[in-house]
Amino acid sequence: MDLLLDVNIVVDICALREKFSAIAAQAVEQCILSGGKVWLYAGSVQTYDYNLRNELRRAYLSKGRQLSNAQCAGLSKATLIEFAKDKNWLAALSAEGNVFEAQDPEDEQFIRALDRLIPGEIALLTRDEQLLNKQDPRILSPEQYLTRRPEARPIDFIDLKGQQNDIRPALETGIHRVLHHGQYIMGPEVKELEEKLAAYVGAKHAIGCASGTDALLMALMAYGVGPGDAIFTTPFTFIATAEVISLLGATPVFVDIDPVTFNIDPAKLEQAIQAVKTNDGSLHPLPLTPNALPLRPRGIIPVDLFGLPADYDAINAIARDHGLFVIEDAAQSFGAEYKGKKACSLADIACTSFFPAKPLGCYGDGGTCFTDDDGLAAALDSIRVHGKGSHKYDNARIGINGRLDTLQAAILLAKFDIFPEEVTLRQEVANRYSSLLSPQSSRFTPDASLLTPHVPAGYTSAWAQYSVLAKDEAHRAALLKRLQEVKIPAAIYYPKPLHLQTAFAFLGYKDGDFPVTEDMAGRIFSIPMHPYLSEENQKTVANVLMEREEK
Amino acid sequence: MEIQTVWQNGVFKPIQPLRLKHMLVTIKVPDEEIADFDPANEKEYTSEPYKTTPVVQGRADALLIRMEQIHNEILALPEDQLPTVTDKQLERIRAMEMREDR
Repeated sequence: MDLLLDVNIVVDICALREKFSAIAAQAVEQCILSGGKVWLYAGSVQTYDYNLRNELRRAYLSKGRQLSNAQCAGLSKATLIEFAKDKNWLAALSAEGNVFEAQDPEDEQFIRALDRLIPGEIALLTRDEQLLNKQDPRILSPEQYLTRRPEARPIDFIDLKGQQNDIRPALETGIHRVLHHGQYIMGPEVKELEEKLAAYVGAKHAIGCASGTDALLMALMAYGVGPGDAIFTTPFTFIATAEVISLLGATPVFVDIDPVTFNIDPAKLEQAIQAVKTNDGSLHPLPLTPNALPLRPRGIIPVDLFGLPADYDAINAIARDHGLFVIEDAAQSFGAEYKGKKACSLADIACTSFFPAKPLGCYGDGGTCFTDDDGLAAALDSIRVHGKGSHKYDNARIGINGRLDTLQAAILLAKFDIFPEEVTLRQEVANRYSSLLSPQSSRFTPDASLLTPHVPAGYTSAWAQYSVLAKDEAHRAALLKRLQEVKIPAAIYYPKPLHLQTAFAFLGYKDGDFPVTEDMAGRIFSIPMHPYLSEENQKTVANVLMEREEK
Repeated sequence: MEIQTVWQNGVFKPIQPLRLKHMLVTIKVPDEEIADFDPANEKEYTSEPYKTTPVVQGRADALLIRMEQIHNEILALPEDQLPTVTDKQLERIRAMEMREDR
């Protein structure tokens, strides 16, 4: 549980009020130590300061020392700066402004602030009897807080709250600015973000769009993909990768994955292209086509699964040999690297997603296309705005409504400031998992072994997910059950390969067509992963996974 | 209304069931019932309405020690190194002086 501090608690601690400072400090430190956040209310800044000055003057006078105005001001300033260092500031909203009709406007502001927060997740800490006598369970004295049974904080699969607390001032300022300038569509934040993203990945152009799915769709549209075109991709991915191919009337040709990286296998990709070119299904499983017409190889969409880039040297070489384009599905890999280059700069067009759970996620849907090609960039820019031309009402092509919202761009700008640091933190979390889950770890039984992710030399992962492989489906079910019993969240990405999903039944693929993918889908699962995952929580997860199975 | 309570492990427990409108009520304890301070029996007589772990206690102590250090440092400074207080600020502070928040 978080705590919002009433003025008297802050004054108790900063002025070292004899009767009250100890218990107030204990309540505050208990909250921080148990993983809660301690909040100061931005609407009370002056009250914190002036009340503290008065209390300091009174307290020292009672000990026989008269403080000057400057000493009171200096003490108040220095103690408040120190106290606020590890606290969070809760913004005062306009709904908390017009409180003059209330019996106590200051108390009313705190109550209204509580009204917009989640009950049970935060309490107002005070020793003001008038507030405590309201019998509101959201209002606690330090004694009441300290006598509560401490709640166990659940382990989050993804911790967006921790991140939000770190960037709250920039986030709120950015959102507020958009609300005031009112350019909700293609506002200045979109351009600013695009420039920053392009510079970060080392691409010439970044074209923000409404989602990662739209990014893929726009990329295919920029190449004019349509019926009769074969687009090679992996069946071990989220449906968006292949869905956009079918939406345009083209045909996804699935290619099995590498069992170590879970990404498209370049050797099998070559076979698939040959099979399409010769229309020979004996070389590689091929999809059914309307009227059994042969397909024309057009492009490849490798997916950087879980944040690890695919093998682009090999893939791009194959594409060059066959005259195909390559679209990097970097929905999960923004922040990763491949042989000295950033993900999102590894193919003709790269597409990323800002879905909230992604390494760089917004608070809704968002995405971006990256390219070095001026012509493709112009096409993408046009497609995302209904195929706009030079005249607003003379559209040059068929496009989509695929713009990135200005509000989402403002959120992403705030998040982007700490993104490089978060990538490093994710790396540390992943390294710790790999060490904790290694066969050398204590209490490990060889027959319960898990395969941890492998990152080839020259690659880094953005660690969108930390996915491990169980021995078999039964082993995975047992491990997931164990995690569930102790309320540790886990997920399976992806339990059913695309070629076996109902939506793609029309392609005529069958069980056994892509054995590596099918094997992984039966064994893989992902455990909590985010930059703020503590070592203690990681040990808890690892211990549950590594415990000897009860006989 | 007069009720009887038992003093047990630092907590008053009413002998009869009781529902109160407010969380805080005042109980008058006759002076003759207050024990003299005796370090040997401190645990028996001292109220312990809440418990904190040594880690929390240590952090709380450290926070208050930091505050005390700041007090000492600031009060050792000559006046010209302290913040200037303007008439406008003094006016605001005076407006707050009536407030009782102890």
